[in-house]
Amino acid sequence: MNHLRTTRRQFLSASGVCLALPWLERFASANDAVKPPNRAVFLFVPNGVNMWEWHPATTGKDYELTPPMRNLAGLRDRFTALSGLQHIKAGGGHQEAALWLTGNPNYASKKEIYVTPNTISIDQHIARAMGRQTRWPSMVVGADGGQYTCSFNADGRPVLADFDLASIFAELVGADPKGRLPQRGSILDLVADQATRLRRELGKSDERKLDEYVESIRAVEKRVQADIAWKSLLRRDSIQEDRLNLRADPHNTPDGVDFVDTMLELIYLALRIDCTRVVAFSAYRSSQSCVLKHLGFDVHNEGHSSGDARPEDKPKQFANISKADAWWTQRLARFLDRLRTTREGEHDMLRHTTVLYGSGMSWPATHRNHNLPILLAGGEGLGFAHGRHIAFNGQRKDVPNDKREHLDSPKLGPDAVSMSDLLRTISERIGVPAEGFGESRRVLAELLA
Amino acid sequence: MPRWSTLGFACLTLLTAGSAIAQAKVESTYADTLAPFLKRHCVECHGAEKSKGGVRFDGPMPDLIDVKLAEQWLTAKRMMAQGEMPPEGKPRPTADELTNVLAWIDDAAARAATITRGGIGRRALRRLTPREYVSTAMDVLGLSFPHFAPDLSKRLPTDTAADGFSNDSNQQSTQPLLLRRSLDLAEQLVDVALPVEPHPSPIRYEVDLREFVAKATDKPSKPKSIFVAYRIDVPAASDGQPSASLSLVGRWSGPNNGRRPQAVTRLDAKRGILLAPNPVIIGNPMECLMLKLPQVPNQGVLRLRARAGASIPAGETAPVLRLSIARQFTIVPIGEIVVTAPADGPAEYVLEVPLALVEADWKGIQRDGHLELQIDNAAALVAPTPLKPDDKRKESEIPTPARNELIVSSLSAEVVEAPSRSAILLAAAKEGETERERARRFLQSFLSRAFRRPVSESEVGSYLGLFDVERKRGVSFLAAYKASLTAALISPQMFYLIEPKDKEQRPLTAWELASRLSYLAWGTSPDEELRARAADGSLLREDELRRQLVRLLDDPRSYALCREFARQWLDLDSVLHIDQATVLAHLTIDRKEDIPWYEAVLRRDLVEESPRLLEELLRKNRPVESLGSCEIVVINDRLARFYGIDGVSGHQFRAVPAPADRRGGLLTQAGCIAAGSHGRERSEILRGVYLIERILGIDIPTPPGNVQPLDVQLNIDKNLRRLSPREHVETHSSVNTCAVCHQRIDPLGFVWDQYDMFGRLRRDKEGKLVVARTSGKLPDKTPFADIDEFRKRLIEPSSTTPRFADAFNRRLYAYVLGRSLDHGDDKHLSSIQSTTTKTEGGLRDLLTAMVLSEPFRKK
Repeated sequence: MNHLRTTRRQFLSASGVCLALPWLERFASANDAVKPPNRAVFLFVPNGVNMWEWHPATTGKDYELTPPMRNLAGLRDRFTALSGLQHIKAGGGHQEAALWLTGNPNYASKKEIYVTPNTISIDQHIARAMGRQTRWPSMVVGADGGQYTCSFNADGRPVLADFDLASIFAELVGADPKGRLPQRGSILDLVADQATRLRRELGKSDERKLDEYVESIRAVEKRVQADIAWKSLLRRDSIQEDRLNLRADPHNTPDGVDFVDTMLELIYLALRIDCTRVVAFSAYRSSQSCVLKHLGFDVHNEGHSSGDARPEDKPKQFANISKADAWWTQRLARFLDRLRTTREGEHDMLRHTTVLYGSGMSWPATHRNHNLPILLAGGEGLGFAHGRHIAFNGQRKDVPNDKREHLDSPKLGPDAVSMSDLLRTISERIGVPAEGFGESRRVLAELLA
Repeated sequence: MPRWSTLGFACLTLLTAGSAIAQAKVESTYADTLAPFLKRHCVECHGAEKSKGGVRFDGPMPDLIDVKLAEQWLTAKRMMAQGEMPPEGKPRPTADELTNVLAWIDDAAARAATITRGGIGRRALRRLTPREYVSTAMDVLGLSFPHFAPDLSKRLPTDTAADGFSNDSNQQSTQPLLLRRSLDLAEQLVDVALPVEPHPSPIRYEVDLREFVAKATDKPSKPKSIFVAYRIDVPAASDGQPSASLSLVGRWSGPNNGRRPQAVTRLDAKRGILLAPNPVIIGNPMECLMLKLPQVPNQGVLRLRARAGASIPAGETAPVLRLSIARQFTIVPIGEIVVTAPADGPAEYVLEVPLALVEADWKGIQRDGHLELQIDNAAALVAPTPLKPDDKRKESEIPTPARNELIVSSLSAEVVEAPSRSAILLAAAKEGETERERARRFLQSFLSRAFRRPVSESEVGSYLGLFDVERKRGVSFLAAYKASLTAALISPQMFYLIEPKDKEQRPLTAWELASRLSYLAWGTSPDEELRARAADGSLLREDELRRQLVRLLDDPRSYALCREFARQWLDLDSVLHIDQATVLAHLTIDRKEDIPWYEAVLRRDLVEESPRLLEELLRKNRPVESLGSCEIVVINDRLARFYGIDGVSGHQFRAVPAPADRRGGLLTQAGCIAAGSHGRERSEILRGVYLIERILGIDIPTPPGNVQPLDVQLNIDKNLRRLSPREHVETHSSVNTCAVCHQRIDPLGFVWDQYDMFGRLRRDKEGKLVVARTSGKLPDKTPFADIDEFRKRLIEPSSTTPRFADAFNRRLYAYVLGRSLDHGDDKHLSSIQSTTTKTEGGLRDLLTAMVLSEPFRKK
């Protein structure tokens, strides 16, 4: 046993040292030939959007920015607006967060808690391949946290989302006032050892449960090792603490803005110090309106109230939904701007960071999921070309009419493009093959330069 | 499907000689009875030629270990039992035939379920729930902070579904996030239990508030603003320390911030400061004492001693002394204590708070260089008398109503090292004992408490090994010892209730049984006596097991069982989370003032009422039915005021005769009604779902995603507003193609029609009771006129309605076993039920029967 432990420990410390060097640090000391790391950020917003407004009317480079996208005017050539994407077989409803990054048509949930196992989500798929290169394989966060997440691991179980700003920050900067890390290393060693011994005494089904424990110990152990190696290199200059309100409580009405801003800043920080390269943020569960309460209305209720009516029949409801949309795109603009204004080598951070923003619903009234509102930003260094509006599957902008044509999903042929194709494209550009992911059939060459 | 191979393995090992005979019987019955029956009645439509619904019954004997197959057969059984199959127009089987067939399906499904699980009492490795984990860690470390406000278990992520029990081992999963947070918490708790060294400069301040009052009232001028602070310096009790300062912050008098007058804090030279209840919960308390310490202690235990009394006018509730840490606009409540000593005979109240466990903005506080402690009266307000529209009086002319007052006559705050460095964790070395021996001695006893069983030499050796490694690394004796304790606290032996495998099913060992029993009754690790009974093995005897169960249930700590079970079963915590802003938005301006939701204390009482009723009925061994029909309510002063019941004083819950509108046990508790109403005015359907799922125990499928809540529909379609609520619901359910379920759900929801979303009697603007139309139907179409008839129907035996008791027993049994029930448990459950019914046993007998049942005592 003893020699096994030593080898694992040695392996971990070795890998810890080489992985924990933040890319920026290496970059600073090396020459420009070093390529910046590829990153992916997934920002999930529940409840859909005001569909009369969201999608631009024309495609191509000269499309006119729609009202919610005007917040992104300064970034126009850094993002692409996408129409016509959908999960082909999956239905609508409140399980949309669990589908957004998995594209799993067979998923079933009850009250937003899964009842059937899901399939792996694209962020975890990427993290499985790339996660070893950073201190945290991935960063999964959200306002409701816990099981309310859009990330699922290889076993199809939800990856619990973290919501505790203060803890995330402490772990991010490796807050360790009492020099605890080496001690933690020894502690985890011991309990991993105890678990191995215990394993022999247990029956098969218990072993599976214990394996979860052992895997968790390993994950924490890796973090500790990476933290130890990283500790000495900590640079605090990138942290602007005044941008952080770590005590913001997402369920406390006035704190919603602070919570989201702080969380996005923490995501930025985690990328900036190369703590992780894969981030999934699922704002909150779609049957509530958590961080948006300060707007003065319940977004979920407003969505229902809009009832697919024509915009002029429900002006108040649609105006409120638009307000929520604009609030989110404003946050997005801030976040993208933060990446754009941070220099990285010859370019900026956004160039190697692919940011997928959007919702798993389109029409909030019926929670339908065709023609999803999706924006793709950054990642030009990975080959993406921006500044356009691209409509897939022959999607046209919904225009109010008496036939209520917008209620029908388009007839999709066998060559239809799905949301999974987009997820796969992102994954493959980052360098992680994802053939056959979800409902994917092909890589979307249209998005590339 | 890798799982099936595992099951096959389990199957082989379990099929011992005895069960092989039983298996042979199952097979012969299938061949003799089932196959001909199926051929005669089923195969025509569900066979090789036609297979309606994708279902076939022409194959060989089904192996119901296949979950899908089992589901299909059980559905078939249900449909045959209810006469839906064979369909109309086809020949009917005779009752005898049917009985045999149904019994065979039952038996086969039960056997399959037991095999799948791997044994009768088998459950997947069960983890301690967050709450159990925190209680266990505190207990084994010898920590106890009865008045500490923050809930430490909230720091660990929950991983079970909202309508399951958190102790359901089938649903639990362990993830890195949980382990990381547990490690953080374990480190902090060990630090609190064994502080490194005493605080370098002792912090201790004492102040007599009567002196403070004397100085404050000397001030000649009238306060200029509505927030005025009188302030004095408080010298340190020990030499060489800077002074602290004490101020009184409050809305002194004058314009009432747009509100009707509330009580105000008063100064009394003889008695001290009389703090009025605080009207505002969101944000800052309006009136409070603020003690500003010039130092920032970052560890140790803050001990606040207050000489305090209470003046409680008739119909009022006892004041609550609340201690918070304040920094700018962030107030973190850290301790609460109810003050009941009389006004003329104040008593000393002591609050102890482990500072290291408080999640305040410590970084900011360090930067400030001082710590602000806030003391206020957090008691609930009485409902104000509504202001009449024709009342032309100015705000200042309206007399302030008599309120309860918290009288504080002296205060002392000190930071001490630890509550009492616990001798069980670490006492002085014995003579001639090396430090390693000392560590071994204490680890030995700590590990056996943390792991809830005797520990082997080699186990102690491993933890001592960690101690050695740390010592070699150069850390102190204490730090190395603490590392071993921390490791034990996050070890799998602490995390899980471990019941190692054996070749065959076996009874639990005495230690395993002690753990199951203790976590069931107290939600924490076994105490000394239970450990002794496990050590001498006497716990395995039925009489001793009964005796211990009685002992545990008689102890007040058994409230943990009632609390966890009732709160999760009835989803009561949702009452705490219903958003205040949402609730406010549903109410009109002139009613805002008396929203009980504003009162955090009252909300917690609403949540506590159901567990307290369960506790009372369990103690008295009353029948299960009394949960749904009861001549008492178990309430405290605040709930009494809320319900309008006279003559109850004091914050402890006690049984009093129920008024006419609260005789339904759980069914007429405001907490349950509020939990079922989800903070919505129009919640008939939600209430129906709540009742059918939680009270009647019928699973309802999830509605499609595009259904709109009733109040939203009202917004969309103005025509709907002309309908009465009942007509509206009827339209809703018929418009949507959901009638199948809603026929069963909707008629139930009206039973609570006389109660509003807070569970109060519904009143109109003038305060008159609204005439409610409470008639409805049970899922089996039995009509009821009102809540009284409803609960009678639930209790009386009937062949078609699921009885309340059945649903309750199922829920309780799942909680007792710590896993979701499956078909294999049915026979145990029904024998428990029939025993209890035969002996006319009460809740206690029921619980005893569950504990004595095979699944609880066997692996």
